[in-house]
Amino acid sequence: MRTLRPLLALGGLAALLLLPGESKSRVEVDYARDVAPILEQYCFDCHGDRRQRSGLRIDRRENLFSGGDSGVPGIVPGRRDESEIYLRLIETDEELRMPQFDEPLPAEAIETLGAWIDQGAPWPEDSASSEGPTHWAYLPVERPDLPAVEREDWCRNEIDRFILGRLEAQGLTPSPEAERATLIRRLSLDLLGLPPTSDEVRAFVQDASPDAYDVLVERLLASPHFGERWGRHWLDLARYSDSHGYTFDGARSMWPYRDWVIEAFNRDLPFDRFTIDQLAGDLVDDPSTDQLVATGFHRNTQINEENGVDPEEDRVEAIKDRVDTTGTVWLGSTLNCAQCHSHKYDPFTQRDYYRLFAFFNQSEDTGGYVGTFHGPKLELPTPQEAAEIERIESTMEPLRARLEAWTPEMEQAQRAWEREYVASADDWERLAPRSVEASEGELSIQDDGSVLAEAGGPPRATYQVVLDRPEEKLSAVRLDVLADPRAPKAGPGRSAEGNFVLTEFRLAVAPLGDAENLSPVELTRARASHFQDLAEDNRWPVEAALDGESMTGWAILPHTGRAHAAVFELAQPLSMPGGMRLVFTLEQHFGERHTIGHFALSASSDPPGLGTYVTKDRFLALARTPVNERSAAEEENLRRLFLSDFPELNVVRQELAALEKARPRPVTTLVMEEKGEARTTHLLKGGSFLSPGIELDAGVPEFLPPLGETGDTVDRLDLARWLVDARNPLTHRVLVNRAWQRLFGLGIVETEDDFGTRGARPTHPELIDWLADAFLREGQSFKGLIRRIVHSATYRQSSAPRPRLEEVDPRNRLLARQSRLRCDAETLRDSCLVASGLLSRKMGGPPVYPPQPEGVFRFTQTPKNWRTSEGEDRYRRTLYTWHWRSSPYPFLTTFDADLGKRACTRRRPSNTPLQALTLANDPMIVELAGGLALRALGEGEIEPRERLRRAFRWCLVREPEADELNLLEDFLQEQLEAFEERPDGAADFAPLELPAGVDVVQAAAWTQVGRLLFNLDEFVTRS
Amino acid sequence: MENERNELTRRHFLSHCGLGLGSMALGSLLGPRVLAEGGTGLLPHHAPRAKNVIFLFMAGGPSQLDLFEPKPALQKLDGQPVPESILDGKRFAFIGPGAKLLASSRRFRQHGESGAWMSELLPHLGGVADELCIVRSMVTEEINHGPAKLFLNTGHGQYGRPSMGSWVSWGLGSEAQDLPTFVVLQSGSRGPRIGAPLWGAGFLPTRHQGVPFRSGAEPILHLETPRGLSAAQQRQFFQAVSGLNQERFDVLADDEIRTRIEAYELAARMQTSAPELVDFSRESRSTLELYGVEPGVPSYAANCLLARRLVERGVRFVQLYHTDWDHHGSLELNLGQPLEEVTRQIDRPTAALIRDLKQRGLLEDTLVVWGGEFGRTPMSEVRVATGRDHHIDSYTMFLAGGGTKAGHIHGETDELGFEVVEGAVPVHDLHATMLHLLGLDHLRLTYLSQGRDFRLTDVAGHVRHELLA
Repeated sequence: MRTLRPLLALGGLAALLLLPGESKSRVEVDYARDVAPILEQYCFDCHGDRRQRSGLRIDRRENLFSGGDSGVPGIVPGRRDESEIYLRLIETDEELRMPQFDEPLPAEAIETLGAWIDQGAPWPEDSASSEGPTHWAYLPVERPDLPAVEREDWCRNEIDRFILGRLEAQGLTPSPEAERATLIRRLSLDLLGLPPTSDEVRAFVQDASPDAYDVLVERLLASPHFGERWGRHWLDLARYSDSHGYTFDGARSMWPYRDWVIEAFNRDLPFDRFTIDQLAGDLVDDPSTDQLVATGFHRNTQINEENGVDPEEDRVEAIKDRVDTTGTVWLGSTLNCAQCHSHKYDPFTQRDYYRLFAFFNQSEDTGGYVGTFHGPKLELPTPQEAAEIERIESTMEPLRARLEAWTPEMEQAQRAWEREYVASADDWERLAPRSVEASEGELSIQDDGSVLAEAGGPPRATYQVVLDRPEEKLSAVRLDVLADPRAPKAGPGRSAEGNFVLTEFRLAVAPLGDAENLSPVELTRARASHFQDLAEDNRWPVEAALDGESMTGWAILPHTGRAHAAVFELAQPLSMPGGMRLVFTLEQHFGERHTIGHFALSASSDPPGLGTYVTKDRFLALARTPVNERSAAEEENLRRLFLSDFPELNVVRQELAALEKARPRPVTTLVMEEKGEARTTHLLKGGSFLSPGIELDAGVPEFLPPLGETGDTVDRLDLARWLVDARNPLTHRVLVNRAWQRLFGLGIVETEDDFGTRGARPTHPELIDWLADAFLREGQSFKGLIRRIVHSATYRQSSAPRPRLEEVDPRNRLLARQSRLRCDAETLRDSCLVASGLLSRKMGGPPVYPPQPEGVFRFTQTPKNWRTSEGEDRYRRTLYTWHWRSSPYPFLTTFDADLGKRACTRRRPSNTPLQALTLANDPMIVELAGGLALRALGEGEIEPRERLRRAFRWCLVREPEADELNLLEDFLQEQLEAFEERPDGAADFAPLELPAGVDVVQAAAWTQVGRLLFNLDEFVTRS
Repeated sequence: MENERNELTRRHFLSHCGLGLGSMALGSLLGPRVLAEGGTGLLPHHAPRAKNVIFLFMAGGPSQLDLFEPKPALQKLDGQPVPESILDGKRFAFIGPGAKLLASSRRFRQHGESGAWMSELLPHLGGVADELCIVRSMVTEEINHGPAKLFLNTGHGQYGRPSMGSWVSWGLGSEAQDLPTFVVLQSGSRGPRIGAPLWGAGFLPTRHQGVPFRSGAEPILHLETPRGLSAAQQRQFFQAVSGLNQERFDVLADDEIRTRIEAYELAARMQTSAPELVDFSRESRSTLELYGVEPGVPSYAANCLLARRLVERGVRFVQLYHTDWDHHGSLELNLGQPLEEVTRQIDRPTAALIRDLKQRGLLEDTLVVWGGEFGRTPMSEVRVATGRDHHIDSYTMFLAGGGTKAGHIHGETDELGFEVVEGAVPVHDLHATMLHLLGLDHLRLTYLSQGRDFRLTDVAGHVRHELLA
């Protein structure tokens, strides 16, 4: 059922070669560029590497030329009419025609093949042996000759020769250079991600010196904002985020890596160093802190903090992500197909995949999370912090030694403690409730005195339990939450993970004889067998059930599926002759069924004994086990427990705790670290970590050049060096192509993430090679590459569409003009910030929280913090905005930035009414329009028309046309009148704080003007 | 082009002659058809049977063998190796030689007068069996998710082609003045892989791309006019944006500017229409229960109800994506509990949608399509739990309403479910048939790009009249 695919769709190139009006003989047919795609597209399924119908394999020269089983030569060089391949394509008998049972090839494709045969069917030299690769991107980069062009005067550098060569071949002319104002805006947006200021524009427009453009380019390349712009591109690839991802999505501290990237671009770290530091900075000799921070590149993988996740599965997922990302970013190849099976179209085998996997398989991070461990992290203390840490550590050392000392007296003390522990554990009397009641859902009392909530149950509930207790004294109460096989993950909670949040726990008592006379009891010193502590902003300690805050509480992830207990002491032990009535209130306000499904309550008359510290039944069982029947591990566990509670050491412990608390908490960042002992890598059958196959050593795909010299063990450092080796045919082509894409909208290879045989062909194959070669020769300078591209006449062209051009080349692949590109989300908001005059140019540091719509987090699995920033952090560049993977800043997603999940090689701009709604109505944007209003009104005593002209220039860099100015003036007038009539509306709409002397109606009307300018096509477009 | 010019002139006239019309009024003056002008000006080609499409895309590839296709022979041969002769020349994504046949563990029974077989996992759909036109003989070409999703959406396995919704938007324009012509709704644990290109406009003007609503509680953000502005001022604002953008369009004639002008006009109208659209409070309790919608909670069920509300308001093409159908046999995705869970999520709402459309008289004009990018193999895949691999040679989709044959079962597969033995329906035929129902001739719905006319159906596709009422 294979249908015919039109030739034009696959590259456009081969077809364009044959556009009407062009003489066929003029153009040399190139195997890799023109012929291979046709063969791959139409013939490969039956005559490729997987299947060779009739013994014919068309990607092997010998086989193709000599023919298949029939013995008829497939190709007779120079003679299409004797070449079986060609004859079968033009065959009229459907039984014999190829492709079999399918539509004939398009005439253009057949003609291309025919012309190639006529030209002697040249086959790329290095693959003359039948083994080597033939696909263009796998062949070595070679510096091509510059094409001859007619209009040499148009060319500013070599790039232009390649572009003009194609244009002239098509009978097209390039566009004139864009106007100065457009050029400076284009350059500023492309290089810095920020629009130019009015002064910068004026200076450049008026600069008559011949090197004005070059000076401008140098100024921009030297600006620290350059690193923010191009660093952001790299962070897209690095799948950078400030959270761990998956549905749980806890916070992580990773911004030092982000700052490293920005800094690396600013100091133009050569690309080989840039690569090595990120992939293997920890493995170089004597790595600097910077190099360690750089290894965060591959720690940007997601971590699954869900309960019940197999850490090994999560670890394997992260390693796969590292392989896939490396493949995408450096090799421009979709390796992930080869996780489960050899790549269908490209020569990557499944073995190749797991040989690459082996490079990354040695890292220390364990996957999932263990306690609060999210893999190796690096502390980055300030000098003061470092000194303080050293001081504290040195004080702690002897204290720790004292804790670990062991004496016969302590041995005796432990045995005594065990006895007391066993005895005190029995102090608890479980109380059978007299009545139970729930605000929502049903509770029932079980035979053993425990309380069971009905299955399912409401999202939130408050339970009230009434118990009568004849004892006179009351010192402590205990809440057992019990596993429940019917609940999700066996409870004890009713959430999908078996969790609950006890937001408040309260007790009131009354004398039994006067049971209505209830008075609240102050509870203190809450302790629990376990509490949830997954991250700084994900702590749910049991004390929080006493704090009167309904947003906090006690929860137990990840240890669901088993019983836990909490003990609460009374601030003042009570005594009531005749016994007392106890009324417990268990509030559970979190929602999403974070309610307790099964629980029991107990009370104790005595001040809490040792047993109350520890409520884990298994320890109790251990303590009851005779000493000589305990295993060494059990004895050790019990000893640790004893020590944790040994009064003589309390002082030491308290000192240690105080010191620990006083220890500075420096900023941290996740880093790569090699595990001490080597892991063996297996091929994983079907990609499953549970189905290991053969063992594999680290290595690189065989069809690519071999690894360079390595040490005893082959490690990530060898891989990094191999990637940036000049012989690697992919890395530098992929890199220059992506830079090109950022500056023109589409790459020379449109499929910037797939340089394989299924990807698009380069529109200018010689150009991509020339750029890659120049990049390598000239010190791998990223700024140098950008400098060269933006210096070209090609880049400097006007972007205005031209009617005839649009017909021939609607997607602007030949670049007879620049492209008009919708600004990235960040550039768009940053442009508003610049125009408003509010932008903070502060660089780096922890992420910030600009205003965002309410309710964004309503459906994230865990609550997220968004403490909207005040002061300058409200107006920082957008790349510093906190990024939650599960719920990114909505402005970013609305404007097509879907980040942090996998390497994002290209933002795909869309143009939707939802974007219009956001730019028009988002209060965040209105606030910035207000900034622009105050800036405009602060320009002193000038005519409104002049004021409008300035505001227009701030946003669009050019002078308004008369029509435009009239329209703006009418609009301003209209708004002034409207707000005059509705001063309340003006007060609501204008900025909150007005400088002295600024009229609220004026401020409101000018805010409307700012808002209008921010919403113009020209404002959101880089032209 | 002629129409375009007329429109521009008219728009120019309106925005420049000081008539003081707000852009909302402007939009209504221009009328619905103009909003998304067709390419030929002669559309539709013939009298349509359907006006709207709701495409329920089950991303990942549902198992036809556990939902629609009981195979007694497969039950008998459970665990047996597959005969070499069957596997020869076949492509599977993951499983290799030596794979064993896998019986379904699900009980099947026949439903309705048509006697359609469905498994116990689809009790509600069984109840509407007589509304469905079940195609058991779908055939696709692409074996992996990304290309296969693109193929089912754009008729081509690589990036760059317009999606079917875009073709329809381009061909027919909109009946809805106040809402996008082509809306995309998403549910499930994550968005579909590939994302935007699945509803992209390819080389068609970008205004025909699908508009993805947010999957959270608020499908559309920022519907409220900023505090302090009157409705009149908001109109003036939109009008001024339109006027200034038009100035630029007059200079540059870039189609993208035109798209932006229209996006703003539509945004202005959506401010009025969308809050009402997404507000379910006027829906009766019984309707909410029919779908199983929990107010305020995003779900496939809520999207089904929203889809009905969208077509009710004239939205031409609504596409729902629901993920998590890729049941290879991992812990998270296997044919046990995970399949039960995902079928539970879609069974009731899908049936409810069909019932609800029917009782409102909308089913006649609305073509409902249900299915994924491919089906699943008769063999098991050996992983930690039971699962099946991708299968492209035969799988099941169903259509309902919009002029399709109700209570009809089309096509047949061999006794093990490997191959279609009768009535194969390639994806391009599905596309041709869908377009036909909408009054569009797939051979004539073409767009000139790079010197060649392109079609949704590429160079293939036949209208399958046997599926039509």
